[in-house]
Amino acid sequence: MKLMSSQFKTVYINTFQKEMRNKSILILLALTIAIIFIFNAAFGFFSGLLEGSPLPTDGAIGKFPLIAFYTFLESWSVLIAVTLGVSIVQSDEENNVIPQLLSFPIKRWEYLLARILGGWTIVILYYLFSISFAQFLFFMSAKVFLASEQIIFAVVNSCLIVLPAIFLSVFFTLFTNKIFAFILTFLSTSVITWANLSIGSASISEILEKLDGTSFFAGGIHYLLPRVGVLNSFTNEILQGQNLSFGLYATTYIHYAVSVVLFFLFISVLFKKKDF
Amino acid sequence: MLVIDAQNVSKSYGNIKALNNLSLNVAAGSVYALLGPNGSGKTTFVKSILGLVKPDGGDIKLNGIESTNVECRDGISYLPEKFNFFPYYTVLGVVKFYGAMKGLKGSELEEQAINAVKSLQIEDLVSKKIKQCSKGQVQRTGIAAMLMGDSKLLILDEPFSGLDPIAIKELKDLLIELKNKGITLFINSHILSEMEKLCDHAAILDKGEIIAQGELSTMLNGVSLEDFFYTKVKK
Repeated sequence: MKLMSSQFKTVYINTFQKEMRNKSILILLALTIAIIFIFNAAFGFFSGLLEGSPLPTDGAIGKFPLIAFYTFLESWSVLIAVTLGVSIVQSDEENNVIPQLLSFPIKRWEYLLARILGGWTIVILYYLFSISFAQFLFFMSAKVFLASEQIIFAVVNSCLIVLPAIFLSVFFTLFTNKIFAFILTFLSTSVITWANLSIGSASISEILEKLDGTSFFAGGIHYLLPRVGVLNSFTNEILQGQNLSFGLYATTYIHYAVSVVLFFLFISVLFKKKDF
Repeated sequence: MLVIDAQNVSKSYGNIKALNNLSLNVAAGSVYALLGPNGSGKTTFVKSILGLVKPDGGDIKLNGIESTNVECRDGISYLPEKFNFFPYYTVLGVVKFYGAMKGLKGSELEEQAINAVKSLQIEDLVSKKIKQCSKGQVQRTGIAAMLMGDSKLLILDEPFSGLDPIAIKELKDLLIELKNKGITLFINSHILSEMEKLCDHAAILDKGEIIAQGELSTMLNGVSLEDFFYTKVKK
């Protein structure tokens, strides 16, 4: 049995061809480059003020700017992911291409997965490009290469965080237009982050002990949807040099994998019921 | 052998019955015309065949396989009423995309794509982008794309729509050529004059119901298709 059908591969490749021309993405990419230049210039300016003092390695731009930089790129990647997510299926409908694509022997979930994975790959490439470009500029100006295990972890984590954002935006485009889907995705992401932070590391029994409407709602979101808020806090904690327990990591990533698969199945069922 | 076997297919949109207990059989190698006025449910039926629309009831089989199973769409090509594609694709790119979606690759894909554009006499358009093509050129591109993958059943939704008389004649000749090759054609249309010359079987659909169907010469019994259609629909 083939792992991927030729139709899946064709739609996956087509997602690149389609979204690489997405004007919103190109504008965001140009803005990213401009912001990285500004960030680098600011770094150069402050380094100049400290001229004479030896430049430490990881601390070259200090922990706070490092976190700020990654937080910016991560948030920006989420913005890119949502911009892509609201377009990857919706633009097929707008161009009246979706009936043709689905008239081929391709399962609807395969089509959806090819579009989502294609979009995710673009966001990852965009993110890696931004990081590499920023690293290159820092290296050229300060001769400091900011690579460490923490940074690699932050990059991997950020790549995971953007996938649920794509899922959510695709989910909302099944019911509404791009603009509303865009707004709803950001609201949902904020609600998920709030739920994750409010539940924190509380166990189910602890939640049940003081169960009220808010904790029920937050708990539902925390347990059913990918915990992007927890992953986000992992990134910050690791960049700050904190050590996290293996158990917490394992639980969070296993939950992430399971909830992402379940969420995809849920979207697939809704998509399957849709008439085109 | 039945290529399309639809039994008691129903579909409603709110209170509107788009298809009402529609039953229809298409034999392999035939040219079947589904005729009807605008809004009669022709496109809904075609979309039901292709699994794009979920019928509320009934059963559709393509080549003996339930329409809910994607494998039934192997060897089937569909041309929607207003064929469109991503505007940045070239004509050849569209044709190749269709080939790739049908599992073709490498030299076979290249070869079939070249043959398809030659059949439609659009070799000089291969590098032209879809957004630069005229309506007729886009339609021809869609038909060329349909020829990819050696499909045994072609489903065409209003294929003559938007074409000039020359293009209509050329398309008709091409469809006759395909018919002679043994390919089954299922055509939705309301251009009766063209369909009368082309099809051997027909069904007339009105308000979601089949009001006449069968072998064309038997059904018409010496009357022109236009008169027959008018009499049936106006009843």
